This record gives sequence, C-alpha cells and structure tokens, in this order.
Amino acid sequence: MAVQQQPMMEDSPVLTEKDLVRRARQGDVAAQSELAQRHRQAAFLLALQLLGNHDDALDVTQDAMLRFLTNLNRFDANRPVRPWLYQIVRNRIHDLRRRRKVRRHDSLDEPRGDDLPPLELIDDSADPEDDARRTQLRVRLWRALDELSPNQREILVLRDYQDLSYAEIASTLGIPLGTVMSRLHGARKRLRTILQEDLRALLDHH
Amino acid sequence: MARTTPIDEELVSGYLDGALTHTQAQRVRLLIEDDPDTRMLFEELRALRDTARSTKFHLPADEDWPELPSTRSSWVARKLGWTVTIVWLSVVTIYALWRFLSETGDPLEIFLVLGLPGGFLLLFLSVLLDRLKALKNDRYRNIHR
Repeated sequence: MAVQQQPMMEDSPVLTEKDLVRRARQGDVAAQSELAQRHRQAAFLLALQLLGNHDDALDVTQDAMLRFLTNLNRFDANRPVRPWLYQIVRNRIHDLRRRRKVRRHDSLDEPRGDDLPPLELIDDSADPEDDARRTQLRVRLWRALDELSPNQREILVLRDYQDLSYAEIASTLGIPLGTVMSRLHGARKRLRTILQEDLRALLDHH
Repeated sequence: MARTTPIDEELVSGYLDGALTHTQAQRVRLLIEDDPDTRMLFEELRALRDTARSTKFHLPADEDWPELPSTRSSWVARKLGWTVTIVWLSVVTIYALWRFLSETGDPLEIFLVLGLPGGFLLLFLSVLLDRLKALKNDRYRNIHR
C-alpha cells in the first residue's frame, strides 16, 4: 500500500506503535501527531477506494482520525492500530452513506474536471500499446466498482486493492471465513461481466 | 478416465488467492489445465486482480490535511462549546416564544412574527420525516459495522 512515510518524533526515533499509543493516551501531542501521520494515508486510501470520491474520502478520514485519537483509551495497545482504524473508517463511511443516500450512478457519469479518477497513470512495460490497454482497464475497473453492491465493493477492495488475507477480511467484516470466498467471487464475476471486452483484449494481446 | 471433476466455481477465486487446501488446489489446477472455460475464468480473474493491485492513487499532500484538535481537552472543549451554544439558543428561543405568546393576544401580530419561522420549521419537519422514512429502506443498513 502506498503510504507516505513520515519522520519520527525527534526525541524518540525508534518508538514502536505500542509505545506511541501509550504516549498518545497520556496526552502526548507529539505521539498523537505521529500516529495520525503514520496512518492517515492508509485510512484515506481505504476511504477513497470504498467511496470513489476524493473529497468525501478526505472528510471521512479526517473524522475517523479524530475519533481514533479521542477514543484511544478504549483501544488495546497490544493490538495493531490499522484494523481498528479501518473499522472506524468503515463506520464513518456507513454513516455518510446513510446521511447522504449516495447515488451510485453519480460516479458513472462521463469524467469531467474534478470527476477524473484519482489514479496515477503509470507506464509499467516497454510496450506503449500494452500500457495504454492496462491504463484503460485500470480506469474502467475503477469506474465499474460503482456498479457493485456496497458489500461486494467492500470485499473486493479489501482483497484486491488492500491485499488483506481471507482471515483478515473475515475479521474486519465480521463474516465467516467461508463467506469471504463466495462473496469475493460474486464481486469478481460481476466485474468480469462488466469488463469482458477489455479483459479479452488484454489477454488476446499477450 | 477424466482427470478432473466439476468444482464450485468460487474455488477458482480461492485458488487465485492461495486460500485453498492442498487437495482443493490440486483439483482446481487440473481443471484449469483441462477445461478451457475454467482456464479463461481463471485468467480473467487474475487479470482483474493484477489490474487492481497495480493501480496507484493520488494521495493528499501534507498541507491538504486539516489540523486536528491537538489534545483530548480541545476536542472536549469543542464539543462542549457546540452543546452549550445549541442549548442556549433553544432555551432563549422557547422562552422568547412563551413570553411573546403570553403577552400578545393579537392573531395578526402573532402571524406576522411567527409566520416565516413557523413555515421554515414545517419545511424542516417535512424533510426530517422524509429522511426518517428513507432510513427504513436504507440499502446500506445491512452493512456490518
């Protein structure tokens, strides 16, 4: 995951996450700031992938970080921060959707201005034609996510974009391990149907 | 005799993710080798997954992040500030209304003073009722929290 690395606190260059959490709970502002800087980009990325909108993702992440920092006393410092933060992000997104009744077709409109997908266009092979095809598929895949149900989008993002294991997904979503595979496959099959032509073109080229 | 037997299609996803037992993985591998449809399914799912994994996103720069309240105290103070302000406004409004209604008997004067805010209040209530009704049919309500 592309997470921006931030400098450590000057007086404690080797603080573990557990130490940071303990310090932050005691009101150490530098530790709170360090925790926020370490995790906010990852939280943003998850929010962006689940919501599909940069501004909403930034708002949700900001809100989630605030709740994360103000509820640190309830958090078990022996556990990793990221899953707990992801849970908060998911809850904030759930609340946002309930408030706004997000219209799924919004993000399926033709791109215009700030509607452009927030993707970096990268060239990863020596073949410009192949690069163009892959870039097109990335953009179309990103747009096709809007056609999935919220449950399908969520599980696909956690597995294929966030690279969580089935066990981590089951734990994050609170579903049985067996459900992960079937729900994930349902999401992938839906995308496969939507992107059939692009996939065939890509595979035929190789 | 055929080397393969039919499988649940979702096992192809499990195979792609390395989430199967050795026996299951062996069955899927044989089917991918022998059955063109399963092979096509596997290759397309793999292309989808690889495409997702290779996608890079624009991330906010440091200056794009709004400043967080730096301490729990400032967070509590902010919440408390809003609460006190809202309570004060409610109490003052209700008290002013009560005084006005108890001291004014002229219906025209009551209408002139309360007509506009009363109308806005009714509009607000109509939106609120619609929202509450929509919540019952919220398609996101079954998402695990």
